[in-house]
Amino acid sequence: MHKLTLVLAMLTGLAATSTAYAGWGDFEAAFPTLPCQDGWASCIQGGQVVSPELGRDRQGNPTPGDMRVAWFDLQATAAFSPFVDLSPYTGEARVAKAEPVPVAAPAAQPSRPAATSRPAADVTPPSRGTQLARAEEPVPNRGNSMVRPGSGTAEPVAAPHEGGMTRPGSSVRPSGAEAGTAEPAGVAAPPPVESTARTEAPVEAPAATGGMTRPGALTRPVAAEGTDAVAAVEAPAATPEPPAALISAVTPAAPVVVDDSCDNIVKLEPSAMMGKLSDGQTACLEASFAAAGKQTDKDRISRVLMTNAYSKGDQQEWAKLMKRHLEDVDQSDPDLCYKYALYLNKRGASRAYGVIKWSNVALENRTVWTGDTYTTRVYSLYKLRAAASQTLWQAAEEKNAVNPTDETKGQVSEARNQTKVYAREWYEYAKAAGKDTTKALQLCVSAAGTAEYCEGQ
Amino acid sequence: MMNLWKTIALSVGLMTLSAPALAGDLGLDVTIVVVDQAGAPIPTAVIRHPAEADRHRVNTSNGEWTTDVLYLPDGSELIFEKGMDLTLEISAPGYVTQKISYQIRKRKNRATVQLEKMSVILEDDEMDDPVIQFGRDKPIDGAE
Repeated sequence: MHKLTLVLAMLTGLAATSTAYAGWGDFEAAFPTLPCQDGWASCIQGGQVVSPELGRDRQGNPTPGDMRVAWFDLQATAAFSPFVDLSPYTGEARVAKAEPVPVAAPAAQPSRPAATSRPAADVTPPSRGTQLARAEEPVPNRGNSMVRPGSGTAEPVAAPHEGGMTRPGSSVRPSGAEAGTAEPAGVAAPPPVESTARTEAPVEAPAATGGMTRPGALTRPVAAEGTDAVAAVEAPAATPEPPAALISAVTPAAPVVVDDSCDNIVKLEPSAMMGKLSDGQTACLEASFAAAGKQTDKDRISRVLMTNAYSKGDQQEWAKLMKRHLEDVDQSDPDLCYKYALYLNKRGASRAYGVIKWSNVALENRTVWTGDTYTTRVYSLYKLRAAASQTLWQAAEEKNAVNPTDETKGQVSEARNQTKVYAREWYEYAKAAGKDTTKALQLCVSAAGTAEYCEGQ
Repeated sequence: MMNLWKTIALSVGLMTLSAPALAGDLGLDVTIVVVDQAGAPIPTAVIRHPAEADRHRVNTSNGEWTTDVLYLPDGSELIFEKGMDLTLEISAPGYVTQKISYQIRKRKNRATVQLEKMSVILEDDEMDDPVIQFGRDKPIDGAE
């Protein structure tokens, strides 16, 4: 009877507990699914981007991205609480005020301004940095920059690209109206400037302090194409409106900055990782590589080029760059040697010498690796090398079987000895690393003729 | 008459001199044929007795090897006789080595050995594709 009472009491308690617990949905307010509207990648907190990368505390000291409280002053960092005051996301395209558009077209030709009067538009700023490009500031072209005016017809207006920034050594190419056509959508019946000018302007920061905005909202320009998004453009009250006669001369094409410079290699790395380096940038990097005096400079340039080719999927080009890097620049990086040996291994028996060579070089520098990486890669390299030497041995035997000479016999003997040695090294490492030794032993016995040699007896 | 005696003496002498050769012929021929899994002869195969130092190549056209005696490193001969258990190691580059044991019969000593192809390829789980590093530490000041 007592047991029955006890069991009933426990069941009742369990039922009560399960009803008392709540699901994650009950804590939605405290732990929103996506605190940043654009996901977890990064937020903007108090005007500072909070991301997994290094941040800055109030004194400007580098701070880990996940540190809530600064180390030196114990003040809250931008990452202190990412869950307060989420900025509402309305789904509307928020376009900030447009840059005042200086108009230089002649008023006498209001109907087809773009087709008739287009001076060359070179909007490259005169100095490095992040100056806003102005249409009225022609700058001589320098370095690797290119100026691509739209098919001989230039636009008097050059809106800033990508947050209103341009880069020295860059060229400006009209894009919005498709440079070749040189006629914007609204030219035939020029509406007011608020509704026609295709502008790119930074979106205003949210007013709420400590609130969150979508990552990139401060810097991502919104290209208002057509009239849908144009309706949201609010020209600032203080902006002087150009005379109506000149409005029609405004060519609302947004320029695209084609940056073929390669002065700052670090800036090219993201593009290279996506295989998006332009032909001009690649050519610039190649020229820099040829001109570089230091091996370290060559090394950096070469790596960017290799990464770009690899990410682009251009294996032939990548292999060519890799070979050049390893033979002319540096072969101390076992990662590269290993990667190249893997590639050559897939290319067939004709690359067996290359596989052996680069496997050997990678093994010389294998101490760079640690842990599982070390074990896996060293095992793979021993195996690659033994397999490649077996391929050579087989080829030598077949050649000797067809037409036996002293030379072919010597080649067979050499290839077999090499296979014997490499297979034994592979077997010994596999045994030491606790890997499967079956294949290694088979190959070793096949080449040596006796198991005693392979077992080290 | 003298010529007759001379002829007889010469014949006896020749028979006496050829006695060891006749003794060598007492070994029984053993033929080993080495083929792959498809039954095709392997021209690069070699055969070796465990006590031997040399490897004997098969005939490259038909993959056969025939002998009735083996010469061991200590100078002795291993003459194949009926009922003898013969152990041989057969190998070829690219194939798994096989060790066979064969009992020699009075006649028709012919054995076919099929070698299994050895595939030494890198499995997917043995390869990891390293990312090409840019060769620098990430600057704390950002991309600039």
